[in-house]
This record gives sequence, structure tokens and C-alpha cells, in this order.
Amino acid sequence: MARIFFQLLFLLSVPALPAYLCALPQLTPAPTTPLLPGEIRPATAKLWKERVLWVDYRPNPHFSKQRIPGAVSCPPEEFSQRHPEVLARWSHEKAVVLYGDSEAVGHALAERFRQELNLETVYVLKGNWREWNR
Amino acid sequence: MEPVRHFFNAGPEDSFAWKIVRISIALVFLYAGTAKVADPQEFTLAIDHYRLTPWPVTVGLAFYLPWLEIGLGGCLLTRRMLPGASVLSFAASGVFLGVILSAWSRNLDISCGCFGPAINHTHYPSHVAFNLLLLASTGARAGYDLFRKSNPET
Repeated sequence: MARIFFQLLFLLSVPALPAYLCALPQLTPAPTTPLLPGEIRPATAKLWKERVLWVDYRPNPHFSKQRIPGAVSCPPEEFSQRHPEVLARWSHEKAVVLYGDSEAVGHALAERFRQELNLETVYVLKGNWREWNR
Repeated sequence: MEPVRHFFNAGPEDSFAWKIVRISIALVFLYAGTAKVADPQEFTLAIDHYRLTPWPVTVGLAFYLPWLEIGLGGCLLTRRMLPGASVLSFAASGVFLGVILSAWSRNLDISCGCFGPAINHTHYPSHVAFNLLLLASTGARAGYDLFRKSNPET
């Protein structure tokens, strides 16, 4: 039994070394850029958990390929067709967080959500989809 | 050097059926590990969606688990440290099944993360069936490696 115990110990501990070596360059903190009004950091949005309605404004093929679970697709050019689905999924306790490939597009879309849909808690994900995947 | 050689020793030859079981499990673990090792960020998100571990643990697991799977797959394939690798693959399969069942019971809409980006959304019944099969094979293989007569431990 001792041999098996030490084999288990060895098999459990050895993977820690390559894991650590892989993690080391990726876990060095990136310099933080200040938030603009209406922006939210991924870490904060993650803390809100179910109180976030994710809206993906990337083109549909990108959305179909990969997205934040539970996200609704709403590219700016399809806003009028897609916004009913956003409203159907939204509730008063939820904040809308928009993410995509460009913060400028996100801010413009966030403004449409505020003006045309009268939603107040609308944010743009800082760093967008790329930052979420970091 | 003898204890070291004994520790890493290739186990005795298997019968054809047990060889198939061992190699199949090894390939599953090797594929699962290599599919995830290149993209730990994606795997971190996949683990995070289970909502079972705090964020620092999630990140640690995302870097660690693929290497563990590769190590287990490699050991099973080359018959090195076979009893230990069999028992650990059985335990890992049990944990994977438990985690999938836990997500299913909470109706989480998640990507399971088992095979990296290869599977984007989880179809729970087929996933549970696959994990049950994996658990049964690893369990049988662990039992075989622990209790067979040619094993110097028994």
C-alpha cells in the first residue's frame, strides 16, 4: 500500500510544476486603465453573478461560436429586431452589461439602451470580450 | 536504485481486453488534458461557471488539472505507476461525474470544459452517461490493478 500511496502523492504533485511554469507569465498583473463613466470591470461583473444580463454585440457568427453563458445577442445593426429579447430577459434587479469587440461601439449601444429602452443600469465591459477571456 | 525502479516499474502485461480498457482511458485523459492545456483562460471560465470554487482556486485548478490528466494518461499508456494512476483516474472520474451532476441539479447553462473548446455546450444526459462509463472503466481498471495476483503489492 505504501508504494501506491507514494505513487498517488507523486502523480498529484508533479503536475503542479508545469502548471506553475505555465501560470507564471500569465498571472503577472496587467497595468490597469481607469474606468470611463458607464464602464465596469469583468471582476466586478462576475461578483454580481445572476444580477447581470449579458448582452453580446459582436456579429452573430462570433456569438454562435463562443459567448458568456446566458448572454443575449444584440448587434447594433439588429437593435430593433433584437431588443425585445433583451427586454424579455431583463428584470429590475438586473444590470445590463454589454460586451463585444470595441468599447466605442459598446458605449454607443449602451446609450441606445438608455434612451430608447429606458434602462438605467447599463454598463460596457472594460476591455471587452478579450479582457473577459484573459 | 532498486526501490526507484520498482516505484516507476511498468506493470505486468495485460490481457487483450484489459489492454483495450487501459489504452481507452489513457487516450480519454490525454485528449482531455491536451485540449485544455493550451487555453487555461477558457478552462478557468468553464470551471467558474460551475460556481463551486472561489476564483483563486478556480484559476489554480485551470492550470493544474490539464497537466494532471496528461500525466495520468501518459502513465496509463506506458504502464508506469499503474496502480497509482488507475486509482487516481478513478477518483478523478468520480469527481468529474459529481461536478456534472451538481451543475445539472442546479440547471446551469454551461460549457462543461471537459474537452476544452471542442464541446461548447453541455448536453447533460449524454455527459452523465459518458462520465458513468468512464467511472465504470476506471473503477474496473483500478480494481484490476490493485488486486490482480501478479501485482507485487498483493
